[in-house]
Amino acid sequence: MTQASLERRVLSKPIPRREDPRLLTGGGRFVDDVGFPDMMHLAVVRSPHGHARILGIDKSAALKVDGVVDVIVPGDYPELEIPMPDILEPGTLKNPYCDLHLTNPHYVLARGKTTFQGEPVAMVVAESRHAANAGVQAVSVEYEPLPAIVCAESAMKPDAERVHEANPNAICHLQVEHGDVDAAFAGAEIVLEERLSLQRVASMAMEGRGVVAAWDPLRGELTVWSTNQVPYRLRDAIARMLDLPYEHVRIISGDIGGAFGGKGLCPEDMATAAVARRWRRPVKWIESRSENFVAVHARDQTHTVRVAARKDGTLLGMDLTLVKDVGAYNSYEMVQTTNTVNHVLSHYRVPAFRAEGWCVVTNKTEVRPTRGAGRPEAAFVMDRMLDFVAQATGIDPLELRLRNIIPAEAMPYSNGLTYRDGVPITYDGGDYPGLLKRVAETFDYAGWRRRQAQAREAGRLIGIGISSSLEAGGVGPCEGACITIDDRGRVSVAIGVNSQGQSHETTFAQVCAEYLDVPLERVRILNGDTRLMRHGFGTGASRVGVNTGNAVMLAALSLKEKIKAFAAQMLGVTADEIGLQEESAFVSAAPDRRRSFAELARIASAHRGMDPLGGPGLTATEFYYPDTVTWSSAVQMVAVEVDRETGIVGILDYVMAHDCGLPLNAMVVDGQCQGGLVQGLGAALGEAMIYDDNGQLLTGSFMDYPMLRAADVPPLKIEHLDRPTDKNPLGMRAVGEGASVSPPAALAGAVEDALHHRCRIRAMPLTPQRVFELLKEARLL
Amino acid sequence: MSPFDYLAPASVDEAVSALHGAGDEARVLAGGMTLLPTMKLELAAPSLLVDLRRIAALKRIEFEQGELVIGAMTTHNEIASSALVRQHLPALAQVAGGIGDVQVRHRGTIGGSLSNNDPAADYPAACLGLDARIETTMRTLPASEFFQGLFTTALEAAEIVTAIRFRPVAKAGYAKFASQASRFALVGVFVGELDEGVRVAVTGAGNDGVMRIPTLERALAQRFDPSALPAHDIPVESLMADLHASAVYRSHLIDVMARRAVHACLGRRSPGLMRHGGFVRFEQER
Amino acid sequence: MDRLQNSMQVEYSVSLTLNGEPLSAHVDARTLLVELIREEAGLTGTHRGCDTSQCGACVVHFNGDSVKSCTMLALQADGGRVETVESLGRPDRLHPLQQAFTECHALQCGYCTPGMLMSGLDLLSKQPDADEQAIRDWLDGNLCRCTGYNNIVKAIGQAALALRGGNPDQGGCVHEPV
Repeated sequence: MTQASLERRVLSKPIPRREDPRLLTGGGRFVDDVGFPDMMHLAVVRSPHGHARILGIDKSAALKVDGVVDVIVPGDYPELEIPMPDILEPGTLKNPYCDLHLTNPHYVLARGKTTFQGEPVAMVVAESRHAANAGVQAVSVEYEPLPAIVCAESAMKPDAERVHEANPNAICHLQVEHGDVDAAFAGAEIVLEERLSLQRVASMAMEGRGVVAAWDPLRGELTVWSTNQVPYRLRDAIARMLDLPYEHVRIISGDIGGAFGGKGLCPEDMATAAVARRWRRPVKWIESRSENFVAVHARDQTHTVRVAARKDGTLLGMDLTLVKDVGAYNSYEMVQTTNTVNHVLSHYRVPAFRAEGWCVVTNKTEVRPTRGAGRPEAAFVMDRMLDFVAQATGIDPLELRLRNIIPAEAMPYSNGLTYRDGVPITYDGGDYPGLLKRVAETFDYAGWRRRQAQAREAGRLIGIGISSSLEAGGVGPCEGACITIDDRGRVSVAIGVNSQGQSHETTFAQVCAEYLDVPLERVRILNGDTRLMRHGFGTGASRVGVNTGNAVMLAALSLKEKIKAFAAQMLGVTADEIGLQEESAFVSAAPDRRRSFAELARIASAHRGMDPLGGPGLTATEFYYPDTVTWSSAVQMVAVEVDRETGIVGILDYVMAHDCGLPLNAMVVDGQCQGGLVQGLGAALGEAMIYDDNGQLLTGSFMDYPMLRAADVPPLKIEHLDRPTDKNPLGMRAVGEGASVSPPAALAGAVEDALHHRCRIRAMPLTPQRVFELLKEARLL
Repeated sequence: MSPFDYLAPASVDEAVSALHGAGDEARVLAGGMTLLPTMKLELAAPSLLVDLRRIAALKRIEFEQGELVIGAMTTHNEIASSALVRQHLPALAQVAGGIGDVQVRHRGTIGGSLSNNDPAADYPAACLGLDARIETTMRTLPASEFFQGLFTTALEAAEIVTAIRFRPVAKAGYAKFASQASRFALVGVFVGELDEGVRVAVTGAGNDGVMRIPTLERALAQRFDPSALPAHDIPVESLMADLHASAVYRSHLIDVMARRAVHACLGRRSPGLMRHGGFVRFEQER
Repeated sequence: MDRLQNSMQVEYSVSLTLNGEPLSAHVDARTLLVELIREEAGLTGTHRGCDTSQCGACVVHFNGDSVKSCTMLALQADGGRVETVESLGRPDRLHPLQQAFTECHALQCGYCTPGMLMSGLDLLSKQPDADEQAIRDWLDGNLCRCTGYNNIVKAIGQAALALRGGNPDQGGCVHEPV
């Protein structure tokens, strides 16, 4: 049942946000805004080496620093001697391709040796931030530096030095094959092979990570305020570490300043909780931006890809090998590499496909799924290869794509692959040719080709790039919502996730108001507190809109049934004789006989009539379990001009069209697209986390890691096609990551085109210096 | 940050005494745009900060005896928006207006910047390009003697820059290619046509800080036009190389920015695109 | 602004006007203006996002100019006038700039927002006619990771129009009221 065709009252409308009044007036409640009079501060001694043995830690000087309360080294707190939990418990893997998954235990403090620059080696607890930092400066650690392992492909060799002694560096492996790849290549008129890579970047939310923990000894309860995206995992991890019942650990998230995947479990979370319990005083840890730079990274994947095609541009097969440099630890199995494999075929028919991939540990910061999570790499591989096939065949790149695109009639479409939830992939609708043509029209592709030709006569370097993307989103297991109407008619919706900018307080209120048929102002979202729902699975993988959205809808519909049933009792009729309107239940045949929701709620608190209806109160809880993921689609086109004197790339036009099914709030969806696209543009035009051969991070601050500013961003034309899916009751798909996927591929295509295809762009970012080198390669200087 | 004592004296003499008293452990605090981040990152730990903010004599922009005189504590924003500067040396206003961002320009000072002599700062190129004279509590030095290498000046212990003197010139212009990340100059070229000849001063590129390029100066002296500039002239061995720009790229950028600076001197709009990723119009003149 | 010795700790007195009200405190010399604002005065709207003075989450006004409060000592503000985002408006009475921000969806996580507002306010007080390019250039010291900036630029433009007495609906941001 989908609601797509119904007239909507508030759902999808571009309603200004509930979150805004407090965030605009300085009333946001971020973790660093939490404080207590007797609060202590935690600071971290971090390894300056990419790889080194730890010979000894001398805390004597640090303990003498005025205000320092404790210095923690391995062995001091037994509760911290357990490894950080992996994201997926062994035995629950459903990844259909992964046949190797070795884990290296990741302890809160480095043990014996340090395997990445920035790794926590010791921690200092003090009365003030200044004292904690002074304590950190005073801790003396003796290191014996070791050669650093910084190249994933070399690290895969069997005789390579090991990052962790217990395991070889290639800790995960996947493989999949569909169709007859060898036959496809044997019979192909065109075979192209390339090495393509996307560089390491970071999510770089404007707020870093932080945590405050407070122990109540009278009740034996720990309260934790955290920037964490996965609060229930944090709750469970802390409860297990401290041997507490789960209900005795409460994770509160107020406002969080962005996350994009960078705010999961970290050693500092565990340490802060342990210190709070031990010392019976609140403890705060807030990371600096410098620490954030070595905390969590993204991408860093290299691909060897072969494509087989006919002279008319028809794709026959793809053979992909990929190696991901995951850094020193890996807590996300093969999520990202599997995503790459499952997204690379994109909007196109590829009858034969083979992929093999590895995750390899190195002496660098851990890589976790951050916005895109393997999809930007997929788009880069497919769009670059399509552009190379276009060059080899002389076919226009737009035309080539149209020749291989999956037609709308083929939906729902199975590409022969299986998603990482174990379910065979089916693209659940979408009109890919329509999308591509729509973008081409809005962008005026023909017009830009004419302008390009005209500009080339004047010696200007103008190019066009195209990239398509898919976004599988809404993965389970589930999310829940509990809707309650109180005796004043106010509606509260409790959910099991927290927001880092996704506008949950607004969008889910819209869902509830729509399906409960109450005014929007009645509805309030309660979130960011693990006491509100018994479980939740975090934001990430673009899952919450679909999961929580549908849970809210189902709970609203369920509550309506309950209201009808109880009102029927009160009014002496059967439930199907009851109508609901304007926050009242009435006998359809005799509308004067009515009770308001508020009244019913008051009565329902103690009335025996609620016995068969689930107990006291007008409340309903539902969990939405998706069968599998939904597939959003998008296309981006960009026209650029390259300054041949400096390598600066200016943007003439940037158009995107996408289909994410029903939008919960059109304005919020547009904002997600704009923000995602610009984040992707940053990775295309300059962002890169660069290490030297000693495992030292050379790009350790905004002085070396270029963030786009307002003047570095062009106006964007974004069209929303909103074609609902029939895969869930709301008809919605995911939108959080989609727009960030295509920019690297689109910009690579455009710049190469601007340079008359006299160079090959196989890696990113396209900094001005890089473009200068390409101009030289293209002999255009 | 390590603990420190703080003084905000009301006169230059008091400031100098305080600096003499504390020796190596004291630092002058001007706008703080360089010193404070350095201290926050624990890269500097002075035990005494001598804040010059209360010394009115250090904050001025005046035109006296044919010279523009700018007090050391004058902010970049004050210089950029000063009617006097725009009248007598618009290129200097342009340099000041391109430093950092708005908030940095509201606090950063010319004296602080010059005393620090960051190899990628903008004022050193302007001062060298205009043959400015730098007045301190002890003497007045030509810019060429003041700048002595990376982060190094002629300033002695307890010597404070008090003012900078500029002679207006007929033609002057600055072209800066900024790092996308830091917004400091990867290459900044200041060109001035002084009475005594042409000066081309480059920041951001030299291994030893701000430098003049005699070959470019001679070329422009012959004919003051962008087309007169020779290409690929600067040996890469003398140039810095880092993550953001190789020596070869810097050498190339010096060529380009020198041409653009001459365009600016001649009152022409600078060709070329300015922001990487930023919007450009197809119809715009190139 | 006096120096006080209190057993092991040297402190200095600082007095300034904060959002129109006098504020006096005894602080360690290391206390940054942002720390004085957040911890001494309890105004947590001003945020910290980096340690290289680039992100702009800490922007406030000092003596009428936008500055980065993380790169000023509290003592440097002695005798001066500081204004933070809390002086702009209240949830039930938003300043036209704040109103424009919500209408244009110019914030998502809200962390950079106070800095954007104070920066934008500074621009509008000095260049009431600022065009789109001037707005973009002005925001060089304010980073945002959520919005992609374009809605922020639109919002400041819409507010400029409103403050000049024009029709804010012409700014193209207005959405349906709640």
